Amino acid sequence: MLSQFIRRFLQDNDQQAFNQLVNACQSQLRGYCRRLTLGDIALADDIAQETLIIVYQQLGELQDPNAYKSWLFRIAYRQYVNSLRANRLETHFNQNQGVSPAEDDAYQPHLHTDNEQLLVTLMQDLSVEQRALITLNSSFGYGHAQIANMLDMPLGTVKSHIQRGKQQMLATSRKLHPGAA
Amino acid sequence: MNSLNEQQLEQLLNQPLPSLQPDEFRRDAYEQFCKQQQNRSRVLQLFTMLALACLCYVIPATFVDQAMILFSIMDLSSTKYMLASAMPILMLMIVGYFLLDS
Repeated sequence: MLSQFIRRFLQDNDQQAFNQLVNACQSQLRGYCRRLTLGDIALADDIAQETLIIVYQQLGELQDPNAYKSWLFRIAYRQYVNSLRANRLETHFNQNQGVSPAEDDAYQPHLHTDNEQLLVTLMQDLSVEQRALITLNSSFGYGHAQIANMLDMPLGTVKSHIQRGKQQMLATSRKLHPGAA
Repeated sequence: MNSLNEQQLEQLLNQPLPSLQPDEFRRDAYEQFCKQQQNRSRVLQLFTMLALACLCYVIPATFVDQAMILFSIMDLSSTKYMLASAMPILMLMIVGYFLLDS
C-alpha cells in the first residue's frame, strides 16, 4: 500500500498520494518522536513535520519503497539529534551572554494515555539512542539487525543499548515506587 | 503503585503506541512547509538580484572605461564616472523594487 502511494507520488506527482502516505504513518511517526522527546508534544510534532518535509523533498532518493518506514524513523532520529545539537549550542550561547535558561524548563509531559505517560517517565534517564532503540524494538517490532542497519550502528551496540536501557527503566521504576516488585 | 518487574516492563513496552489524529498536524506541516519554501525563494531572489546587480555594474563600467579611452575623455571627474557607471544598478534596483512589491 505504502509503495503504491510512493510510486504514484514519484511518477505522477500525485499530491493526494503524498497526503495518504502522511496519513498512513503520521501517528507512528509522532508517537516515536514523542518517545524521543520524552513527551514534549510540541517539539515532537515539530520534529515529525521537519521529517515529513525532508521526506517530501528526498523521496525520489529512496531506493527500496518497502523500506519507507525505517527510512522515515531514521530521518526523524537524525532530525532530533540535530535539534539537540542546535539546542546545546543555543544554551551555550545564552550562558555566555548571561541569558536566563528557557522558560519551559519546568515542562511537564501530558500524553495520550496513562501507559504512555508511565513509559515516558521511565525513559527519562535513558539516552536518546536508548529511547530510540527501545521504541523501535519493542513498540514497532524491528529486530536488532534491522535497527543496526537503519541507524548505522554496530549490532553489538544496539543490543547493549537496549539491554542497558531496559535495566535503567527498571531502576527508575524502583526509584519512583520503592515497593516490592 | 509497586515498581515494575521485567515482565511487566516488556508488556508495557510491547503495547501499541496510541493512535493520533492527523488533522491539525497536517495543517501545521503544510503551513511550515509553505513558510520554508517561501523563505527559500526569497533567499534565491536576493542572490539572483545580487548577481544581476554585479553584472549590470561590471559590464557597463567596462564599456564606460573603454569609451573614455577610445574618445580620450580625460576631464570626467571620478564622481561623475562613478555615477555614470552606477546608473544601471540604480535602474535595476528600482525595477527590482517594483517587481518584488507587486
